[in-house]
Amino acid sequence: MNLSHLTGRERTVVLFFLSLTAAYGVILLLAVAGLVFEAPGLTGSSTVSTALGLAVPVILAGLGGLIAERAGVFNIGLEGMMILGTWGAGYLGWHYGPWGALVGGLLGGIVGGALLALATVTFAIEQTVAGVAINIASLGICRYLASIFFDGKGSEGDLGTIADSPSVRNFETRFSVPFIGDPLLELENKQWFLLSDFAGVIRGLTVDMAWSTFLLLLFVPAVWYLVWRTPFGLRLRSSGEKPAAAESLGVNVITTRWAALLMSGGLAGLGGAWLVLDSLKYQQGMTASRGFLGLAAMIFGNWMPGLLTIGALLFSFSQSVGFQLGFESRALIGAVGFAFCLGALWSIGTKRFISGAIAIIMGFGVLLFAATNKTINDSLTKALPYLLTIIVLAVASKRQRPPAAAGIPYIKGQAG
Amino acid sequence: MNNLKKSLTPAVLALGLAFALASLVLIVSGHNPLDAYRAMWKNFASFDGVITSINVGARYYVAAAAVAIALKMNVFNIGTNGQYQIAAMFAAVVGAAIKLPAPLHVAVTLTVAVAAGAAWASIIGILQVTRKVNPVLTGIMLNGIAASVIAYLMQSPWTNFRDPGRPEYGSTRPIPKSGQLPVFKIGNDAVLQSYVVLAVLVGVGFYLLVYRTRFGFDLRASGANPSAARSAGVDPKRMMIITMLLSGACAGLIGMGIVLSSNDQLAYGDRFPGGLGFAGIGIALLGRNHPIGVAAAALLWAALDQGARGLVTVGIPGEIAVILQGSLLFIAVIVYAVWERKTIAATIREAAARTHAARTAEATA
Repeated sequence: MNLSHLTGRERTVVLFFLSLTAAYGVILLLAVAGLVFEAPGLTGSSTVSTALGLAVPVILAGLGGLIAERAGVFNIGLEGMMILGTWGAGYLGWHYGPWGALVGGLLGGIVGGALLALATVTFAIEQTVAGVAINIASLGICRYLASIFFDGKGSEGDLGTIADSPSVRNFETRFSVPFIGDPLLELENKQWFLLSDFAGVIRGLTVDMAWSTFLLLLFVPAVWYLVWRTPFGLRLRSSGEKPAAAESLGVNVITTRWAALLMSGGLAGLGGAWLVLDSLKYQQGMTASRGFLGLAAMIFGNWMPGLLTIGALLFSFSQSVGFQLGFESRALIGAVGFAFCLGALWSIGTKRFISGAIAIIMGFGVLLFAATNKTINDSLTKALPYLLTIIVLAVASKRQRPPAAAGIPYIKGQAG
Repeated sequence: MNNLKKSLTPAVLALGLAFALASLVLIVSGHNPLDAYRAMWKNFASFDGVITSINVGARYYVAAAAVAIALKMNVFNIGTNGQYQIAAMFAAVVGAAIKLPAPLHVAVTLTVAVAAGAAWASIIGILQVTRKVNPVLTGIMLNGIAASVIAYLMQSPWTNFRDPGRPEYGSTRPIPKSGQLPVFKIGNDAVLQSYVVLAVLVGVGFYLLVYRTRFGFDLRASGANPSAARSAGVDPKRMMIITMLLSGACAGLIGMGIVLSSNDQLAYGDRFPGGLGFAGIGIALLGRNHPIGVAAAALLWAALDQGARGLVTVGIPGEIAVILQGSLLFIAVIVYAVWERKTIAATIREAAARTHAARTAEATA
């Protein structure tokens, strides 16, 4: 859709109503699927609030990837930075409580970001290579540190091991938007089509939220503001689009990219801190590829914070549905089937008959699967988030526009 | 000779720096680095230790070759971790189900592994070519999906790959004698797997394909300069698909030493090691994607693994080996890049000086 002829404010209004319509459409789709496949929990507040929480580390990793790539560095080391963040959060969280965990995650991630900056900005080496090296190295670093600082430490009955820390305290209260919780709960329990679904979704997004979720989600608008509304953001984006031109205009590309990578690492590390506060301790391997999923969300979101958040929510929602005990998984698969059929109608409406035919075959196939399998095998449920991410990337990737200089090492003085 | 020195110097430099860093870490955490290295050396430098390192190094080599061949085209196949596990499971199932005379049985099983690995990897190539999906991300997602697919096929009542006779292993049925790769007993209990020969063949094939064929030239050209290769008539889409097929085929062989050698498991199951694909990435980068460099890196990696097992005896965490591997990799990629830039700059300077000298000679004449 081309909105370029509108003024900034008009565009904001149009986008606002578009996203409201989209949200309405998604909830309608889920409500229908929940009704057809006997799974009211699909839009239940518990599914939604779990999904919102699980999205946080993916969103933060994605924001980290966004800042790095907007500055011109492809950061595949996010996973490693998040791992370093989990260790830092485990250590400082164990000693100083929840705020300590957040600081520890931030610091751990920044260390990872500094390593990547040293390799890719100062020494200008291949960015993917350096990122992969950080992912491998961070595993060893954390295991070694855990063997010294966690193994056998802590109090009686709460001893750390090489694979996990002693327990970490979380914030004692949780965040709720005042006054709306009870009426929404009442409405949700009525099981009225669509109205109760809306109540469930809104309640899931506003009531009984972990403080870490609430605080860390504030980074979505913060990163948007930093990158698109400040002088630093302008320098950052110019380093990622045309570094030579930026340098000839007086932007220090090297410093800008260093700053971007420190922030990138810090954000990924905060994602790790969220995981530690959620599990109440550091565990080896607790990031489970979320750093990579953040990258996927960033690409899905076309290097924009808002869309990135939606991508991460899509992933975490399918994961959260997998945790539900009823028929929710097959209802979600059914919803995907419906979505394919709608996509087919859209394709045929715009005269793209081949894509339409493919979509309709896939749609009916998926619906048939959902109709014939009441419960979905546990291992398939676990694959669902990855599968959906691939499908979404396959649908979305062709229209993407990454920053022009992302992934290309820059050597100072290239402007000549 | 000069060439060898040129490529060895940065490697030795990186190794020295990595050991220095690891020593620093050891000293800071209150251990004597010399004690640690002595214990590691002691555990490695026995007949048994060296043979084990070679057996494990062969796996690492094949894992790294799978990554390196794709990296020659600048494509990151991060999905080898899923590819080799899928391949190992299917090969183990087929290998246990068929009855054939010895060499043929092994050949069929290996073919199944190669085909399964290539098929799983081809998804990455197809999605990149048709839908422009970033291959790194597809690879990561497919690793996650592979784990689920394996868990599903192992336990599903329709396929039921699990051996009901050995529930404690959670493995496929064992492979009969005719389907096994032979092993060579050396000395008392050291056992050299013939899988090592397979790994050497993979290396030779890799070298011939990449450096001695038209396809290999196109592959390297596409990696070095995609637009130049395209204008020279190399179809990037076709290259992408073939590269992923080759890389996946190679990845399919990673687990075959474990599945088909009689001193290992002879099946695919819960005890099958899960991180060889990721190790292969590091080893490929360390060996600079060259068949010989990768071989040295694989053996070094395996030797560090083997040495680390000796650290328990002196009360030092074995994880120092992982730190060594990780920091070695990180330092090595930096040193290689800086070294290469310096060599290129020196060559340019030398050429410039030669031109200048020739010009002055001309002017004076």
